[in-house]
Amino acid sequence: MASTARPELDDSRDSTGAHQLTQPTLDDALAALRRLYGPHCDDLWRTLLARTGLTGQETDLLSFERLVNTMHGAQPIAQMCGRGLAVRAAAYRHLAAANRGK
Amino acid sequence: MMSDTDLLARMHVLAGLDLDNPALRQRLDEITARTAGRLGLPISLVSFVLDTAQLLGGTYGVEGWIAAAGGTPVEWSFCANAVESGRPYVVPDTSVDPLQSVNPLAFVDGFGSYAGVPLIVDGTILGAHCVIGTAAHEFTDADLAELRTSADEIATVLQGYRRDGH
Repeated sequence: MASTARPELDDSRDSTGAHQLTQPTLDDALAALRRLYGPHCDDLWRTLLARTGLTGQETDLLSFERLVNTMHGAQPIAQMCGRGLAVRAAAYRHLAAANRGK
Repeated sequence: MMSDTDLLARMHVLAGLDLDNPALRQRLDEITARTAGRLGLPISLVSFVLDTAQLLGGTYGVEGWIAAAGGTPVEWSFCANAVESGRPYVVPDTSVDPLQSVNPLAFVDGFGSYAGVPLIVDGTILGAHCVIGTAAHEFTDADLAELRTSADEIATVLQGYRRDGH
């Protein structure tokens, strides 16, 4: 169902017009995992960052999407968490592209 | 408010389902088309409510960015209200509803009315089955009964798509 098209956009946090959807970040991903895994999250987070080749300090959407892709190969709960985050990233991309085209 | 324990149970059950199976998608799309037709509204969803987004498992009448993204951020999800309460959630007119009048899905994307019922598998609420109108609409008890019947059918369908080991 999700489109494979990836509209180009800049990395500003608030470019989706009236929807006011902010760009998802690695901090959002960490917060989501922390809610699900609690104190056991740190090892998983470090593993995901290492597998993705990220430091955790990146703020761009592409890094976020790369991490989410890595989550798809993780344990089942993290996979589902990654699916939700992927929807947020796709929503942001499409809304920002539509708003930029106005 | 839905507890994190409920959320974990929901995520666990959903992780055990083959949600990307094309045959499942087709069946859920067929049921949403039927529900929309029977209730005379343009949009129907099977929505799975995750921690940060709602994932659309079956749709009828969904276009634009929502179809492209395959869902919406969870804070905009009407269905999340049915999940949280465990009861049908009905909004006859989003423009005058205190919660939904400020929802972008209403004031930007044009969702004018909503009725949804919880989708329950193995005693866990996974999401909701709903209909959406593009204008205000009064829902009847018969409408909600139709949604309930279809939601129960969806639950039965989902149970046939468990992954190995679940």
